[in-house]
Amino acid sequence: MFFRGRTVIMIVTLSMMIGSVFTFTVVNMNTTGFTNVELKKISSVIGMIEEEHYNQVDKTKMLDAAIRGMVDWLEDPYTVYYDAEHMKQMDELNYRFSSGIGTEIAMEENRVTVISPVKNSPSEQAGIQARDQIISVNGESLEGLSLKEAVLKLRGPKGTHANLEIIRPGVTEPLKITVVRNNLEVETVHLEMLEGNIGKMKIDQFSQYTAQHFHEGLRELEDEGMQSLIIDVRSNPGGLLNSVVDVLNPLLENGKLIVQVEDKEGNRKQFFSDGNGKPYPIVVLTNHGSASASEILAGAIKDSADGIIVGENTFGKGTVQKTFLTAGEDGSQLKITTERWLTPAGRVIHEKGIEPDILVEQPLFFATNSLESNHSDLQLQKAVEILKQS
Amino acid sequence: MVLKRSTVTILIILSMIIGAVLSITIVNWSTSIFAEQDETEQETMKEETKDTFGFTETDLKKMSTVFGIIGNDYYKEMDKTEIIDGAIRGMLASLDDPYTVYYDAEQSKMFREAVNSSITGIGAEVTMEDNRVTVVSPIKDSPAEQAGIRAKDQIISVNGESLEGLTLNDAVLKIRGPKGTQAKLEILRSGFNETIEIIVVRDQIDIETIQSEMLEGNIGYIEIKQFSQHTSDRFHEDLTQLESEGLQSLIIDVRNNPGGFLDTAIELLDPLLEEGKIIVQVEDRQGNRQETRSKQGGKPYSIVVLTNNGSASASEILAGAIRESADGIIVGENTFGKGTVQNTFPSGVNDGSELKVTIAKWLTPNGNFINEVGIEPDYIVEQPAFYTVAPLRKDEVLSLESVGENVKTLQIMLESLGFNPERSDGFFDVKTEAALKNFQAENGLSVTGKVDELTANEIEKQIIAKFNDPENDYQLQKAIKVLSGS
Repeated sequence: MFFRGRTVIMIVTLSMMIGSVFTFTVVNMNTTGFTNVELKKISSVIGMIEEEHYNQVDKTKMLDAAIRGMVDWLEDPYTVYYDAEHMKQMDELNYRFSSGIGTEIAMEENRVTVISPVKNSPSEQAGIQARDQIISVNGESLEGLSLKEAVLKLRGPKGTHANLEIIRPGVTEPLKITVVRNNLEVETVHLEMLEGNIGKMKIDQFSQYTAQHFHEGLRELEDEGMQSLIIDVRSNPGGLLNSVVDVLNPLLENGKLIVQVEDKEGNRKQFFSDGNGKPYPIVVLTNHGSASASEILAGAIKDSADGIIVGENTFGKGTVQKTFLTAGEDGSQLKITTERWLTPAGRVIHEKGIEPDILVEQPLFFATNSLESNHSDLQLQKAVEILKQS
Repeated sequence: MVLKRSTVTILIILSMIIGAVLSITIVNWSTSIFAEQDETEQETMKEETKDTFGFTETDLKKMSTVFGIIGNDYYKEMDKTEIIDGAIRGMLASLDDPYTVYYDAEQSKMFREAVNSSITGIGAEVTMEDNRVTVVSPIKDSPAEQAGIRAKDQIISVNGESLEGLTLNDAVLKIRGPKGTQAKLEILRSGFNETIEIIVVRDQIDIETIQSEMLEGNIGYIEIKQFSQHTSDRFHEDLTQLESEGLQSLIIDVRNNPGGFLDTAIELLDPLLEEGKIIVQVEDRQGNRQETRSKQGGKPYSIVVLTNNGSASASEILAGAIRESADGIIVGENTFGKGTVQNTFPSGVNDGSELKVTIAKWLTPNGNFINEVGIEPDYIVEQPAFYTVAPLRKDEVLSLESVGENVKTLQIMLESLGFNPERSDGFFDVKTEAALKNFQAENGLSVTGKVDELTANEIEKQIIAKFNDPENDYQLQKAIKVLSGS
């Protein structure tokens, strides 16, 4: 498969998010591992296989398989081991789409080659084309550098200049093109003012800047005279716990519970709002694709802000994951379910989801339609109807 | 599959190790494997592991941190032993070798009993009938036989503990016990109004792996059920007996024989091949081949080996050797295709767990590696259709318009009993009903045209009778024909 432009960035970011739906804390911890007896057992098995098995044994494969064997035994779909190869690929993808000038690049014939400029990005505006080979940046040659090293040279703060020397097929002399770097992060919040001063905030996922953008957007809508609010978390797979807590904090009255997380000993950590709440009614739109952080939002708005949930039953992921680096020094990581979370009212929604107050199924053709087409969006229409009555 | 009575004999044990049946080990050092390795040997292994083999410290640390994170941070409390076992099973899975297997303590005990074909118990073959543990037959010379246990006896309780509601496996575990202990059985015997009490002293029970008879035309027939510790001795005892009775040719039946010890197969084959002929070759990872040759004389008569898809490992060694080194003929179906040799090791710590590792390939005398391919017989003969059908399920009453596998089974069974329903596609039509009514009429059942439990039992009884009639064993008949012609 071959994707292009903005879609690709979205896909890459999303796939990384889905892979790590929830808290993303990479910690290298010195936890107590095997006891001597356990270590003896494991290493003697390894020894026997190496010494006795009739085929040559791939040690890396076997090590990864051992770790997967432990992880699989938990039977938790959210606890996942990412081996070094996987992390390397993710890393590569990450760099490939993060040049800071808005191009997808790859190494071809040892040259940094543009696969395609991202639509509306600085590089597209500056006239960068697919197949362009980038020779140098601000006079520094990229020759002999890895893709990662090249990306670090191409990247830079918003507003700074990247003077590129480019070889273009069919053009004899290298071209000089200047690109003004811009912020290229993916917009996760989309706002719209609907008829009747109903504000609509759609959240695609809960990433690092989502809360900040959400509240900037909300202020804009409030300034325009918003009377009520729809938060749309349909098909939102979740994201960072801190992000959703920050989104929720100003929406709930001071002292209200946002969410509670509970570890295996039953210790609960409660997150309370220190915001002021909002004077207007809030409706949350959900569907089967609203998972994890989206469900925290729906649960909190319902339990702690008297909000109403419209749409379909949510996905039902009521656990929190943390990502650890293993001690392998090879980039491999373990994402592990560390806690479960409960709504402010103490409900456990794992594998059950949150039932909406008003169940509205979308018409069948809606799925194939663009999400933007409000007139065929029965769930949105229901939300608007409710808010107009209130 | 309808089971032959003789096969049912080891059902109680086999049903417990069903997961391991196909991969029953061919083991290299049959005597030393299951003996507890002494402490020093284990120590040496550990030292070797540390110095020469195994992972680097970083590798182990990596695994160890993951283990630690699961123990400390996972949101549920987990059994650490099972996580370790998960790691070991994971490693073995990465080898893509179905015969390299880890057994935890409990599995390894069951496995050991299965390969040794000896357990301690009372020595009765039991089955579940009408929800009661019912004796199929006491094993010859077993404590059960000596104490007077008979076929059809229903065992109600053991040492005062009722067996009611238990599965067959759980009931068997209650009946079994260490050598020398008593099992006080409460038994319901037909013809008696009250239960009777029989005390059986448990002992070591050897499961018979050899069964032989002289067929018409002085053709000797020996069935080998698996290659266990005493199988070779028992084989040659019976062969000597048959020879003294004037045996002219020999059929060796290894159908549904999952294998066993490599040494047993070699010992058993040695007297059958001429001196100097290759029995089998074993090849290690470096490609070094070790040939095992016959040290004895061979036989003056022709040999046919009967095989099917269930003939695996040691059975395939036998078939290969008889064909390539003794000019024998193979009749039946393609064999299973297991061309590797396993050895079993204790897993480094004293918790009873074991590791069965594929240590080598074996090749036939001519150097064929049959893994995943099997051995093709000289004469391919399929059994009649009723051999392969499932037993008739009795939890549903079949009647006109019924559809499904069970109807298909019924149709195949009716046809082989001579009541042709003219279709075997699993749809119960008027012709199937007519055939069924004929069957019911001829067997004194009420002619309902429906398969109720009574009818199903009668059909099954007759199918088993057919199954046990050697005339219907096409493979055996072909073997006899081949030998009579020679």
